[in-house]
Amino acid sequence: MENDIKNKLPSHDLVDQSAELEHLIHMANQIADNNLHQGEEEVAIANTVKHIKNFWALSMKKQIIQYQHHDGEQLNQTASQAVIELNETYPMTF
Amino acid sequence: MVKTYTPKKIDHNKDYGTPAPRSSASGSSVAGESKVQVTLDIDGTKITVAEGTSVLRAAALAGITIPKLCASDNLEAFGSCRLCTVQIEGKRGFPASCTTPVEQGMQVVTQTEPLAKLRRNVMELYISDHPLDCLTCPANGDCELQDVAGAVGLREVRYGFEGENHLDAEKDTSNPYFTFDASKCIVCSRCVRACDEVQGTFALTVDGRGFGSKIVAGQDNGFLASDCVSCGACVQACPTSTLMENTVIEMGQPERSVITTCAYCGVGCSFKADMKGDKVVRMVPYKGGEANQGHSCVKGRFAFGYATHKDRIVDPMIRDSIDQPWRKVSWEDAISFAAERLQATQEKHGQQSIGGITSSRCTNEETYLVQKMIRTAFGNNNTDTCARVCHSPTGYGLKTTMGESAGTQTFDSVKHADCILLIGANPTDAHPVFASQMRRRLREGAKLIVADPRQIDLLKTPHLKDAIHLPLLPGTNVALINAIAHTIITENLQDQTFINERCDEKALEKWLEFIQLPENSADSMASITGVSAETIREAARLYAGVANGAIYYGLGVTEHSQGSTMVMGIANLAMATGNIGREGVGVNPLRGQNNVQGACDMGSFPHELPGYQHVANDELRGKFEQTWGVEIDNEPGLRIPNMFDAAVSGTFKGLYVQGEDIAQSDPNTHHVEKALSALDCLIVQDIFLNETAKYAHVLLPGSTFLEKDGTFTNAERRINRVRKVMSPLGELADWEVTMALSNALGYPMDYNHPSEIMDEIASLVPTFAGVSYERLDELGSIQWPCNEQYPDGTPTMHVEDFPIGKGNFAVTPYLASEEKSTRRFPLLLTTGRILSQYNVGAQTRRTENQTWHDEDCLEIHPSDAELRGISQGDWLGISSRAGHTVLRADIKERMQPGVVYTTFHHPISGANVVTTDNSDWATNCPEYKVTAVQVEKVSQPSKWQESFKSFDKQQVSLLEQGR
Repeated sequence: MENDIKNKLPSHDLVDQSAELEHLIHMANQIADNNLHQGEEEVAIANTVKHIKNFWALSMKKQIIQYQHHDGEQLNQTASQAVIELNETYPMTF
Repeated sequence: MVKTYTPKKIDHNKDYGTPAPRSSASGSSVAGESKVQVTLDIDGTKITVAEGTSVLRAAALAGITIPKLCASDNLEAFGSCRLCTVQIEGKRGFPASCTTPVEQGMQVVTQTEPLAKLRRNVMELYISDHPLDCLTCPANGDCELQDVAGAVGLREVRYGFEGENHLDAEKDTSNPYFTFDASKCIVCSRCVRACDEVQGTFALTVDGRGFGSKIVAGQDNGFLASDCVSCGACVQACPTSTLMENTVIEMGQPERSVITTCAYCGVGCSFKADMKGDKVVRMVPYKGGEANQGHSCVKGRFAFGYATHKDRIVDPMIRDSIDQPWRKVSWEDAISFAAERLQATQEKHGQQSIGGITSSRCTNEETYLVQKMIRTAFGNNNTDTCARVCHSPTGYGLKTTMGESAGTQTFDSVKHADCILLIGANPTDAHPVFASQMRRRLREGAKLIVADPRQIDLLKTPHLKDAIHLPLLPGTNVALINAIAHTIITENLQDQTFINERCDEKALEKWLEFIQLPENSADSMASITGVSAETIREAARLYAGVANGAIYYGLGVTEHSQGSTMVMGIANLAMATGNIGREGVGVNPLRGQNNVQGACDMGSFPHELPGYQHVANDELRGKFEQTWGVEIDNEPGLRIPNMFDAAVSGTFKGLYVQGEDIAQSDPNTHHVEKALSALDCLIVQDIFLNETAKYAHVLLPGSTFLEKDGTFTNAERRINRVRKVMSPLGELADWEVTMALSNALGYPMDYNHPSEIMDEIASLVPTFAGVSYERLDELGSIQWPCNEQYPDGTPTMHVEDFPIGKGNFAVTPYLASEEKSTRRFPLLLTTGRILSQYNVGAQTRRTENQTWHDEDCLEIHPSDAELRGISQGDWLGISSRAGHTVLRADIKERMQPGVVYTTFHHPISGANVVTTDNSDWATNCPEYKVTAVQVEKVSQPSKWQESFKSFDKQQVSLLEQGR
């Protein structure tokens, strides 16, 4: 599956992705915030994972997983946990 | 022998004299024909009609013509012309048949010698003050006065033509689309009544008395300066040439008609395109159109001239880079250039590096083909549509709560509404034909609640009875809807039976717990929304207290960071009060563009195949894979804002855009321009060199709705036929262009007619299973779902259950927008449309509609203006964290202090230079409606405007070099 994902992705070499990544972090946090009141934290995390799975392109998923792995500081707690869980469905080597 | 006649089918091209009767039962059931049938005898023919029908209509239904002038079947009977008089056994004199209701056993005679004499006398009086210039009159061939004179056998005018008359009355040519020639007027008042009853503007009146009576617009200040909104209802109602379309005056009477669907807003009005050869003489609203029922607005009725405007792109053109002149090439060369570029891009940057945008202005069939080409020939799911930036939260919110991504009602349903709750929509400007229908219902006594930062025109409806305005601060919708729901639940105003029977218990419990929290009370939310707690409670009690409460909403709901949450909040409210599943109630999104609903239905979104079938669902995707013969990516693709981000990052390099102007319509123009400039291959297919096309490498001529066959789906899920009345100026219709590009890319497509595309759609989309061109011709229009269960379509949704079984209450916490007024940016900017212009204005700016709105202004409250020393018409610099632009000041009381407003119809305005990249959390729908800004007086255009002007000049010149 890892190779599958890599093959499908556009190349990300030598480009400035800071603005894009900033948006993705913001979006993930927003999704988490809007799901927090749905009940317990676990439910919010599960909803956030589901949302990202259903609506985000693979390239976006990969970027947020990479970001969470390497830094992740700007992700709120729920979003961060959701991205960790997302990584289980989309395993990647770093 | 006595003939018996039972009318079955109405001929929508015929005038039956008076409207079909509506039962007068009290309460909510005002509309609907009475079930009591009455049989009478007219000229020896027995006819059975509904109780309340006029004798005039009954005769017309039986095919018996009674002469008439002041009557028309879209106006209440008036009884002034005295031509439709008849004789009725047992009744004295000569009653007017238009004002006489049928009675059981009534014996009516329509032609007798005394009647003929009376009618001739009446006509003689009319004609004694009417010019006898029939041969040179523009109405020649279509004049009711002439027809009636002929029918009654008028042979002489004994009074002569000397003496006082109106023959020299002056023409009013102030309106660009029609002429008012008072010398031809017979003061039948049909125009006045059409303005009142059909349009609801009350701009016209009969001034003076007796011989001095005359029709005047406004305070006798001419049509253009009056309140007239140029809907054309008066022109259509006029039985003479007094009110006449200028195109008919110029071109003469049309020779044939084709019924088609308007390509402006989401109301989807049916029109008769009146033709002379391949030229459109005029567009006349078609009475048989279920959405508009014979009414129109200034855009659909008159603003069609763009279709033949000199700016139309009629030749395919290519260039290697955007600083080069365009080169005119053959279709074959343009298509192979485009295909090679796209393929080269994918080879270099990967399969996911290209995508496309489908058009919400094009037909269902065309939209379907574009997304199909992307998923097959491009081999990815990078498809999106302009619904992303308008109603994507509607799809998300309604699907989550009620299981279907669409509104629940017909437009007609409003006739049964007792309270209209309108949120974030301005129908008199953006959906004018439906606004007229709303206004009619309001005049009948329905209550109105408007939640809008501005005092919108619907609140100024003439003869409006009770109305509550909730002037909330931009960005606080969810706070308001929660406070309304809180009031309803805590005051026990909910419909417990509906909730128990129709809604999911677990979700309900969670929601009840949430909504009753003190933080959601009207008192808590008053300071957040800026609306007093008592007013919120009053609105909640009103909406929940009536028999039928109907919610209508627009982009003021969706274009927020919590757009999807708000849509769910609206659905919660409707479910909690049991306002779902019958006429007069429901949740009704008012769609912006003609085919936004259709573009969503047709699988334009990156995560959903046609019919909202998710790409990750193996079974659903498998069905498409089998029919299309390719493997489809099981991961969602990029949405429009994600495409822009990826383009700026350098990973997204090729884009095909059909009929959409993202450079003007999408937020944060700087970012969009940067993204478009970063593309290796931009293919734009449009009718004009729009703002996006200025960044393109391939320009393919698009075709207007007049040039192709297809279907549009309006805001009521109504699929309407679009019929070709002239050949595409660029030779190919849009669906043919997409087909050619797909073939060049190696994925074969071979359709001979759009009906074949619809057949394929019907085979793949369960809610379209029963739709075909044959069925559309048979039924006129179809509201989906249309399948085995609902063979004639579904006017009202969720009558017995929801597609997801039980209704799902969603918890909707209010989270403040990040766009807040600050010391640096103390005002909140919100944006919207105006009646005469449409969206990016590419069409309407190329018509006489410019007369009403040739520049976008910034509306500002007098107190904010005074604080800044601003006078009417001053140049104002508007700055946000995203950018800066300059507009003229328009000081308006209808604004609330702290809030400013502008339209975005002119590219030079740069309204979207100021809007930010904030978006809805669930769908990325941009937050156009809330931008924190500062406003100050300036003396020159902004830097962006200066660079826009020079870029525009350069690009227009590069186009001219290629033409």
